[in-house]
Amino acid sequence: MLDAETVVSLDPDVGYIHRGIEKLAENRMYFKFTPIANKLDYIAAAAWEHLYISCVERLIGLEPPERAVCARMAMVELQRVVSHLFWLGTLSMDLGQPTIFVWAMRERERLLDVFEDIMGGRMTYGWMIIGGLRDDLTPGQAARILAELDRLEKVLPEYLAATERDGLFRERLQGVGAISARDALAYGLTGPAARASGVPYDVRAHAPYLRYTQLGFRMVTRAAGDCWARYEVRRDEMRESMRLVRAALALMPEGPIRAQGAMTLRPPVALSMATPKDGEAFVRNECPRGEGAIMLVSDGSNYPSRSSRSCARG
Amino acid sequence: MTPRLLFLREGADAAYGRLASLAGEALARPLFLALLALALFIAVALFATFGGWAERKLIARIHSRRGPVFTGPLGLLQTVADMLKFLRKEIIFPEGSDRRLFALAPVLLVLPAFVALVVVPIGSLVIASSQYSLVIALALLSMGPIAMLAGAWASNSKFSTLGGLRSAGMAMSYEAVLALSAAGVALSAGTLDIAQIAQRQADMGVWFALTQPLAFALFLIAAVASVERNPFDLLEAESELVGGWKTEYGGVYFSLTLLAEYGKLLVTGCLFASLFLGGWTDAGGDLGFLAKVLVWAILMFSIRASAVRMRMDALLAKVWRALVPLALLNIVVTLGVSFALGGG
Repeated sequence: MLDAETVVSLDPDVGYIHRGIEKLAENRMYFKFTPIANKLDYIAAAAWEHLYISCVERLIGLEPPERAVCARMAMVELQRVVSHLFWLGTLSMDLGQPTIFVWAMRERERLLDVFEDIMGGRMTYGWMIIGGLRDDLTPGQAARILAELDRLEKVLPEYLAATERDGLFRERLQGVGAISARDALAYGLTGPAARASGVPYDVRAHAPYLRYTQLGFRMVTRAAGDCWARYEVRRDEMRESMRLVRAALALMPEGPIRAQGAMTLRPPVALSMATPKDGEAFVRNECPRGEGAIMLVSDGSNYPSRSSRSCARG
Repeated sequence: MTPRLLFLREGADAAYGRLASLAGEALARPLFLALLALALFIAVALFATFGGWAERKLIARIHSRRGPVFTGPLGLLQTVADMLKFLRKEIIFPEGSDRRLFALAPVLLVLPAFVALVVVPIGSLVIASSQYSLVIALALLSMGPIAMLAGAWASNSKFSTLGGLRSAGMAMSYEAVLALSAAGVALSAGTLDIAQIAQRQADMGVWFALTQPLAFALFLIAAVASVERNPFDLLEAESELVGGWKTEYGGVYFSLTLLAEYGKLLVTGCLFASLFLGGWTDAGGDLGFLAKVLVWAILMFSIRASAVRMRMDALLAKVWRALVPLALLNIVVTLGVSFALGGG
């Protein structure tokens, strides 16, 4: 319902996102679900790939080697930058300005090329495997990431200036769509949207995984809760993520990329995967667009007996 | 006072004379008018075609893209190809639409732009001269939103209706600014004839853009709004209203709306050049006038590529709280200065 230009009420038409993913998971061996995990959020696939893989690893009790952990962290955080670039582009598209959209997509494209080089795909990867990585992150690839980050750090302020110095841009966002901290909690908002409403909640800080504690993750929050606050949160998160990528690459030691018992898809195929015992595992990650959670229940076979995932998005 | 036909350009007068000697005085006038109308149509169509191409190319470069490249050299024929496509499309009338009004609205939209070019000087060529050409031109410009509202209502679609209402709401606000800022210039020149306003600047030796800077700025803003481009493209707003008032229009009707858009761009460009930049009267002559209109078009294209769409409420608030009072202030100051100088 519209009152002139104000949306007074609306009827949410929910359910379109339900794709029967859980049932799909129950009909596959653990490793065969990885491509589907990628498609849970195909513009931030690395985050969901990591979430799923780390859940299986917890179920099995398999600890990936340090090198793999640091490489995963670098890619997951780089994925956040890519996801937020996509957000920046589509935001300006919604505001009727395709210029920033094309610029943001151009930078995203360069990072997608890096993804293709390292993880074998632009959008969906299958790079992380249960117990480690399919391919190593070579020093040359690490240098390429750093070079791209240098470039991005140089051009990003230009793009942001093009938007932030524009009074009309601010006017479109400031005071619009304000969500109070109470409402944010009531609606179950997570991710950047919750943090922009003054809810200091980030899985990376509250239930740290990977090496967030060690690298001193700094949570970004804003109090206002409007579109501008959400803009600021994502903008600062991009900067924080770029710092974390650098730190994770610096932390990455020499060593193996697969743990004993890790399953590879490379021939000769040795299905020597450690089989999960009866039990269940629940893992949460801070995905770029909000908290992601996967629960797996095992009955001791190669197939999960139950799985559920939840994704609260802002 | 009835407008009289007057061709400021010697070439046009000479051509009319030759035609009169060939076809006789009685036939010459309607024949010449018909030829003139055809020439005007071709001129606007060419401007729309290549203006559209230039806009795409320029915006593409700002986006760091290439724009059209495949159709003709430098993609020059892209808009021609698009036109051909539009013309071959089936005309679809939405269910429950008012067919007659639906078909009439785009025509109503195109007409004023063409008619306005009869009174607005195109370089030194003034087809019909009138003491009130400025008023006539502004009145014709303000007919656009009425046609849009008609088309929107006839479409029987919520997106069209919202776009049409926005267009009406916007028109009511920016037109006041457009007229008031033009009034500043008219008062300063002491005439409502656009050609004479241009001439007056040559007499004074200075552009009204410099002596009437406030009116210049206000006119610029209001004119951007009247050609419905960013940041004032609320009535189309593809990310909010699909296609705004023209959501339901396709094929030849859609191409008419595009023609109207560029026709309006041309009219406001000619107004801009004559009212504020001295028109054709300075050293550059007609070529200089063309250059001024092109500067105007490039300015419009660049603004479109760099501004975000404004919010309706913010737009109305800005216009009524800031622009209209400023335009009124400008008129008061103009009057005060001219009285002080003893001109009266």
